[in-house]
Amino acid sequence: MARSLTARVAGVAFGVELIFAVAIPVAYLRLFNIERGEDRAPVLAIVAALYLVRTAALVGYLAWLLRPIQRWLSDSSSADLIRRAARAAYDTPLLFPIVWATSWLLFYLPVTASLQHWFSDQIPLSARAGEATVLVGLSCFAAALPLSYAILSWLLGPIAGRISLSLRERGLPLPGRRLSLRARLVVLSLSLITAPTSWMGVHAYMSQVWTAQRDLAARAGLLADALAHELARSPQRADWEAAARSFSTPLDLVAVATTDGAIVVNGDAERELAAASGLRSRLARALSRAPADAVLDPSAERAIAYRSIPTASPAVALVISRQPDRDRGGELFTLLLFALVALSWAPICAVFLAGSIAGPLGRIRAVVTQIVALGDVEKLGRVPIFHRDELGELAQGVNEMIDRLQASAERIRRYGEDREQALAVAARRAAELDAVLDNMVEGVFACDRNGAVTHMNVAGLRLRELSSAGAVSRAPVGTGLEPVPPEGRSFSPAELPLLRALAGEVIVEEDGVLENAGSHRPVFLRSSAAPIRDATGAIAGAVAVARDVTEVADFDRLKDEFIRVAAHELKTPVAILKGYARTLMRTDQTLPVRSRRMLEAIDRGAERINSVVEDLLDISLARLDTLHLSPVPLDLDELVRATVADVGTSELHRVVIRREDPAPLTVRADSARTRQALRSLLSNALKYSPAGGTIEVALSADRERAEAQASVRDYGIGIPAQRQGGIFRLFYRAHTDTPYDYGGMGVGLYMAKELIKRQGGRIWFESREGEGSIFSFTLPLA
Amino acid sequence: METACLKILVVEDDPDLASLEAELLEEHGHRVEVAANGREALAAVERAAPDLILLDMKMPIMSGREFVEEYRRAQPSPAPIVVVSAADDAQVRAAEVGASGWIAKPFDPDVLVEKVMRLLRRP
Repeated sequence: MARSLTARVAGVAFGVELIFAVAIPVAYLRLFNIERGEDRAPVLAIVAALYLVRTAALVGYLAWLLRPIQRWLSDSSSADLIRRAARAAYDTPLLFPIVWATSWLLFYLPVTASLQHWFSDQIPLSARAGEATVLVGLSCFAAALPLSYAILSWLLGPIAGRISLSLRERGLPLPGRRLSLRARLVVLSLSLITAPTSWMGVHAYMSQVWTAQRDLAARAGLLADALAHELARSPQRADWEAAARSFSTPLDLVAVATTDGAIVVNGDAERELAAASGLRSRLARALSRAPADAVLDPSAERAIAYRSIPTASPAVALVISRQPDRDRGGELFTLLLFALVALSWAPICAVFLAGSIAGPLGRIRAVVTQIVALGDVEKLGRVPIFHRDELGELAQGVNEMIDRLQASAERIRRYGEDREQALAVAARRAAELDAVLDNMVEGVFACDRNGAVTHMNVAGLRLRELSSAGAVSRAPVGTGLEPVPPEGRSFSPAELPLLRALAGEVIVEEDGVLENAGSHRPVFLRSSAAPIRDATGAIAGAVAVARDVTEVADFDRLKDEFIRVAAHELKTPVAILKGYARTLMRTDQTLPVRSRRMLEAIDRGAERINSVVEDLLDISLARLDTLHLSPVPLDLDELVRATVADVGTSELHRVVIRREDPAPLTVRADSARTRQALRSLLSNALKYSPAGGTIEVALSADRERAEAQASVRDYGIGIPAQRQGGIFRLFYRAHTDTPYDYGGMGVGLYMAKELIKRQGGRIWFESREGEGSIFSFTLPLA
Repeated sequence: METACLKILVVEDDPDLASLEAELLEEHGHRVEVAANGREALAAVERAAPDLILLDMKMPIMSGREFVEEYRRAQPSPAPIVVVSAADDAQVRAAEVGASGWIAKPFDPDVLVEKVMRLLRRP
């Protein structure tokens, strides 16, 4: 393989050239009218010798040029070697054709010189040889340049392509001369024009010369034959004059001359020869060589034919003719020969050239087809760069495109892997979350922004089955879980925790009752809900968590019932204690003081038990919702005064009642229960005020809202802000574990709230630590 | 006291409370008979018609309410009844059974005596 590259290139190149190398000399000799075999032989020998020398030199040069490639073929490891091989592969098709074509340009100069040397007396080289040689050289140059370029491109292109891939693998830049396709095509087209035109031009030019001369020579020969025959019949010189005259035509000077060239008859001929001195000497040479022949004029205007006259030797019959006649056969042959050369040259050029262009284009097309077919991008090869021209750049562009494609395919693949991994993680987390949610005791519900339920855990499904005893579907909220508030009325859809959360509300631990269609046993729910917001903060859905607190509620009820029964049962023993103690104290006047104090203590203790029992009973009534209230029209002012009188027994405090307007304040309320509520507020105010403090009770009426307001204000210790939250809660004691813990069960404010609420009023407070508190309530005006 | 020596029936299942009530009333010169439940009370009214009945509502064997029904059915002219109850709605219960008065437990001894006196004075 390594050895055969130069041989192959040289073989193909010079093999193709051989056709022309044989044809052109033949044509060349015909051009110069060297037709006789003995004349041709030396010329052809010179041509052959020159050709061999030239070809040997060219082959040597080519081998030298291709040597780096051969080295690369046998050892492709070194980067320097690859670079040099690439340079050789890209530069040789550009450099070598110039040298080759130049050899053709110069080839016929020595041949023509030798022709002139040997055949100067026979052919009129002096006149036309220069032009003919230049034209032949030019046409050979123009023909050889594209031919050799095409052949070398075609042969070396694929090798250059292979080297380019090797360079690319090593990340090396492309070396070598860049010649644009435009320049290549311009040179090629100039050659394509120059070669045939100059070739045909030289042929036409020379054939015109030779045809005219041949014609003249033939006509002159005929006349000379006739004259010689005539002169042979009449040996007298006097008759020659007459005969010569009788053969003369306006174009043909008929004369008789001696064998050394001196004109004997016809002075016109003498004058004609004297005008063309070269012709006379050539005639003299011809006469000395052959008895009958023709002599051509280098100017192509004349031809001389002469024939010896046997009877009157050494005289010769001489005709100088001017009118040409054509040798059509010879002309046609020459034309055909030239045409053949021209015609065969172009297609051969075209074939190689097409190959050298189509080859790289085909490679590019193959790769592009692969890309278009959406095949595996990973498997795409690279396009070899055959020549350093636009096609090479196109291939390079395609290669870069493939690089990009593969890089992006790699990116996409990696992205896909990452995405799959992320999806797997997400799926696992979703499964975990599902497991967590499904194992929660609380029912979890999620809906989208339209309120359609998107998730419901197992506990949620159970709750929902309890509620509707029907099919579970992803129906919008409002057809599914519909708890009602504890008061018993049913929620409007807008009040459902999930829908309220969808409107932006956050709901914490709100109680509701679910009508249980299955067992007619209500389900108590404690629900929390919150909106789900997307990245922009817009509400994308909502989530609600509901816990079945029925058991807790049942237990609560049981507890309330227990409190009620227990309190109730305590009343009889309290009655016995109090009854006996008081009876004894009253009836037995003889009791010692000590015994009387003991009985009083028993009575007080029993009274305290009784008050606890009363509280507990009140709580149970409120909790069990069995408080009996008998609202009647009451004068609030009077009620307040009575209550103050009842409570304000302490001499340490002053209670002031303020009225905004003196009009009577008649409210509709239960007297005892209202007094109970007011008593709680007053006793708290007293309890948490310093000794000597003032308690203000303000009464006012809001006629528009049809309610009366009572406010109890103290200037006591107040309630710390962080303890204000649960102030109305049962058993809540704001001052537990503080120096102000004066005891109590935390029932008073709870009952006050329950009592006021149940009478259609509101209760609230304002307080600041260290400054005191204001507790206010309203009651509907009668 | 001007209403001397009336016959009062105390119907109360708690013996201590019953004897307290009895003692208070006897102290004022009344004759008191005690019944532990409705059935005993019925037997007692059968034996001797009382002038007043102090009635507990919640009792074993026969409740105050059942007693009132039976008593009214059997007796064409029943004695006035005072309900002594620990229930918070003693007044309501008293009204339900058509009692003449009510006393909430625990009661002040003076209140009990006063209420009984007032009732007995009325007719």
